[in-house]
Amino acid sequence: MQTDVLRSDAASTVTAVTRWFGVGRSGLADSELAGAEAGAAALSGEDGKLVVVFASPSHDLPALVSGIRSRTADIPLIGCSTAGEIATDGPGDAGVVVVALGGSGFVARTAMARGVSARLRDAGAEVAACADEAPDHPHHALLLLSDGLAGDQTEVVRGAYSVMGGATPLVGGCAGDDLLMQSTKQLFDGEVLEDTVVAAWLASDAPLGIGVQHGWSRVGEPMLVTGSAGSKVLTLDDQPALDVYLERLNPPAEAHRSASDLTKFALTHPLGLSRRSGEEVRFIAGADFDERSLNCIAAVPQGALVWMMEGDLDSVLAATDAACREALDALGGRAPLGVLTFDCIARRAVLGEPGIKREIDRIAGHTNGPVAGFYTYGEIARTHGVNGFHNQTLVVLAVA
Amino acid sequence: MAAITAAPDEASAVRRALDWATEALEAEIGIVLEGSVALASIGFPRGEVPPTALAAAMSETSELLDIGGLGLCRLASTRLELDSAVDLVVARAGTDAFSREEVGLLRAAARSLTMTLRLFRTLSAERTLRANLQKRQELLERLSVIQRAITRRLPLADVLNTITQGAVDLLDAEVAAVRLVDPQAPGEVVMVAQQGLTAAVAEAMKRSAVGEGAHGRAITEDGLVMVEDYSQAPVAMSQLVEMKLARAMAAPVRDGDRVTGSIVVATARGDLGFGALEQEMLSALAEHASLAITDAKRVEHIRELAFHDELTGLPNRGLFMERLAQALTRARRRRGHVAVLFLDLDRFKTINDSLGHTAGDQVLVTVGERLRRCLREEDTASRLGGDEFAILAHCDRAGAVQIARRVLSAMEPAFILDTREVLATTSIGIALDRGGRADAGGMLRDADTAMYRAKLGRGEGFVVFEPSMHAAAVARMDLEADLRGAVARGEMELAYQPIIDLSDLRILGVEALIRWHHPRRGVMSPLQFIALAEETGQIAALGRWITQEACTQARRWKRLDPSLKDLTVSVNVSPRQLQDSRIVSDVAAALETAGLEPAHLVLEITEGAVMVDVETAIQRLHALRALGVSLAVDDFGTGHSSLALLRRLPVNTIKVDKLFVDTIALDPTAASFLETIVRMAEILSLQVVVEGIETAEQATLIASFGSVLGQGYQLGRPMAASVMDAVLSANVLAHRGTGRSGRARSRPRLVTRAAPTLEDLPAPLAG
Repeated sequence: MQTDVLRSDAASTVTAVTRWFGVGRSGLADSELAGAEAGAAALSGEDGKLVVVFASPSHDLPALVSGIRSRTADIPLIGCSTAGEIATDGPGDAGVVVVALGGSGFVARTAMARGVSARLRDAGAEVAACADEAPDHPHHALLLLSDGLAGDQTEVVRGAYSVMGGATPLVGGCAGDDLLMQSTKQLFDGEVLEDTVVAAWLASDAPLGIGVQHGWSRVGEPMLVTGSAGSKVLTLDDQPALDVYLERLNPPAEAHRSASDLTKFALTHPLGLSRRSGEEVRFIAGADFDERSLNCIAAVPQGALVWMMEGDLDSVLAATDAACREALDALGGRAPLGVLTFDCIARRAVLGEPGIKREIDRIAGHTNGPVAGFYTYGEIARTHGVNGFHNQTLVVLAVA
Repeated sequence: MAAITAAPDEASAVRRALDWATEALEAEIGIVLEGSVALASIGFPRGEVPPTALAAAMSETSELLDIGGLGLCRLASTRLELDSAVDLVVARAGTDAFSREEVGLLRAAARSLTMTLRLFRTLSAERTLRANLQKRQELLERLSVIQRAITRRLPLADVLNTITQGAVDLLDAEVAAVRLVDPQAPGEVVMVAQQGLTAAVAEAMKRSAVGEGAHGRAITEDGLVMVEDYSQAPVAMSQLVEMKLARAMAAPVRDGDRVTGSIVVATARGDLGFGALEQEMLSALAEHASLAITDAKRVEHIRELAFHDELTGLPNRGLFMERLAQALTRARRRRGHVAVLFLDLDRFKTINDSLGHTAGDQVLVTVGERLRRCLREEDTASRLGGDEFAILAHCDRAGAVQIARRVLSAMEPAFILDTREVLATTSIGIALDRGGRADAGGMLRDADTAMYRAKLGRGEGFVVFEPSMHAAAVARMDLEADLRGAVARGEMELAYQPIIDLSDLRILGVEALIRWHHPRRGVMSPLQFIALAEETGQIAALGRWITQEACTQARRWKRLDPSLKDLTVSVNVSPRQLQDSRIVSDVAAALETAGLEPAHLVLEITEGAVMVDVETAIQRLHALRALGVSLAVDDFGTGHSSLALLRRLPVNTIKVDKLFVDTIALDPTAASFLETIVRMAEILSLQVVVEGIETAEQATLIASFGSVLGQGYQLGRPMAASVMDAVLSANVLAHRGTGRSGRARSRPRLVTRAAPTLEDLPAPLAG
């Protein structure tokens, strides 16, 4: 069992203010016992405010949640299934990672919306309504865990934004199912759900820092998106997008014919979209071989400049460092109590198993404290503009 | 934007327009305001617009707004053309201004929303609901066809034809046309798409003045124009009056936010006017024409502008660095080779200064073309800026050297400008990498450093970077700083080397040679700093000082001994000086100040200096000759040695390079070559000075060729003016009694050693 506990006490003139952040992990096969073990380890102080759970879909999730709540009682809980869990000691599968936050320095509210696929935007707005007033806790963020298989998550983020407004960052990720791509689960208090979005509004009297980096590097010349409809790219430089993609990157022969082989190749060769505020990555989920178009996970506006991207170990790890620095820099010099990471499954594909171990070691090295997170089907981080849904990206939330 | 027009109701149209605009402008906040009511907003907690933000959004003057939690935001707003005041406002965190293009996007969203809202509002108000519904349906269908045409990037002419067809159909008009202002003739418009005109009429109306017709008014007034009773209107066009058109309506077409044309419709039906709905329809069509034009231009230019140098069409510095970084990344993975060649045109500034920027640009374009021809497809040539070019090649040292040689030979032929030919040689620095260890910026810097080395040296024109060059580059910068003010600090001194008549060893002249007594490096020869002075523009001042000093010294010797009245003093003129028109007045001033007879000043120029720009050089030399000074071609035989050119230059003297003297005693062909030069010079009535005579044998042999002057260590080393005083006196004494043209009875002893001994000196001086 691995337990990370860091406790921070900060004195105010009126009352003693405390904040704590604990991470527990369990590799036990029995779901209820695993939940109890990780829950107990995470709970490292009095006055618990929020429990966040990242669990392998291989677990009996109702039993797992019951095990956790046997220790955390009625502290509000949100969580989701994963494509791999992350804790301070590294990445893992078939396990559970539990994060608990508490102390008078934190305020948390949670919410859940059902039937998301039929009302993506409204569902985002609905969970965001849990945001409260907390004048003594000026730093806040909305943590979202959603079902990435339930339609365009850009809309969920947009809905949440319509309620939160520009001043509150949004952060989180889409649940996974170990790459089976069949169904993902969300956890809310004692329930195990599908087709939902769960959220926690977290307010703190200390800063919360967010870092977003992708770590892909450009290959070849820029191209103009001359034709697109939503997330479908029809033409690049007036040529059919699929043909341009195949010609530029020359993937293995199978990828020229088979959609699934193309998707596999595309996992490590996304499109990079040039935006005013930097570069956004668009994961290519598939192609229409008749229409010769590419299907991306999020919108690619016509008229945009795009690059073919590729990643290697060095560039992805460099992005890890940059995301950590970005998140930590926002803490205004305070040491982090711990960090939450939402790491794209595609980055895991590029890094390989030894690589992801190195990545988590690096994150832990930067933060010098507990780390918890999971491998996602899409990352959420809105810190500027209205867009906050990302692909193939690492999002780091540092909690001071 | 099709999503806005296809919205099922007013509220969703507003929300879609707001979403689209905030996303397109990457803004955090968006509001649609009707009067003081927010119809929709995005970016505020719980969708509630705070009163302060509302007031700021309503104000037409405020551009910056402090929004709680976001800090200072930049505002952009545009008003919808509706009966009530509706504004689309966005705010972006930070104070970065919105670009012209972004404002254009906001307007396009507003226009789509205007049209949609208007349709909804008109519809609900009118009783003829059914007819209008159909009309709206038709318009939307037509707009979606147009939008598809734009989206698919059909040729602009096809898109505009689709728009004019839509105008004719939707507005029941006989004629519709789109005209665009001719960028070459801004006072005229050209008809680029039309419906309803016969080919002959269309041809006749193809061009018209901007002020003519309803279409012209829409352009000059920048707004929708209605012309009732067309035949009586002052702007009516005769061809259309003949078609009995009763009324016309036109709306401006824009490229971004600039009016660049208009769309016009005209109908023969007198009974049906163009109502509000028709006006709105034409405005929508005009807006789509604007979008198509803006979009077409954007596609055409965006890549060129963003990544290519406009003048040469080569990739610019940004794209070059991007490709270099990528090449290094690849090299890291595959242990590959990367080479960067940094090119700089020698004397380009001179060309630009003396012939003008147009000529300079012509040279740069030609350089770009020549570079392209030298490279393989996978290599990149780029113009970094000014006269600096770079090449990225995927090859090792041998490959890079091969490319450098290819480029150098491609740059050899003269650049043909409108009226003249110009030579501009190139210097190349090469930086190499294996395995992607370098970074792009460092590699370019190294290549730049090596290029400077190539420029200074007299090698093959290219130099491969070595780490030691960094130190050298730093030293060079120090030297440049030291050079400034060296004259003022008295560190410069002229040495004089005698020029001697080989037949009787009389000193006829002296060549002034500059020495720099550097406080730390000791005595430096001109080879070590003249090129630097040229590059840094210090040569003009230095040249003025040398000329003045040499003239003054010559005048002093003449005063000292009247028998030196014909002594000449030679001064070297650098290529850069020759290109500078001030040299003529500078020389005149020096002669005037010193009181020296112009004929006693010899200006020495190299062939290379002339070849930079032959016409200018010849002009300049004639102007100098007109002052009365003598001119000598220095280093003759090392450059082009063009006899034809020599005949065009107003020179009196040629100075044969030391190169020919070095081998003369050993190589009979060298001797006969030198003899030929002497003969040739006699025919052209040119004085010959042979430089670099280092042995008595050489002197004797050369004297046998004919009437020749000599210069060299054997005849006298360069020496300080004070030493030269003594040498001149001794020489005068030795020749006393022998006429200038006569020969000494006995061959006089040569007394021109730099440090005369007592024995050398005539008695009065020794005393």
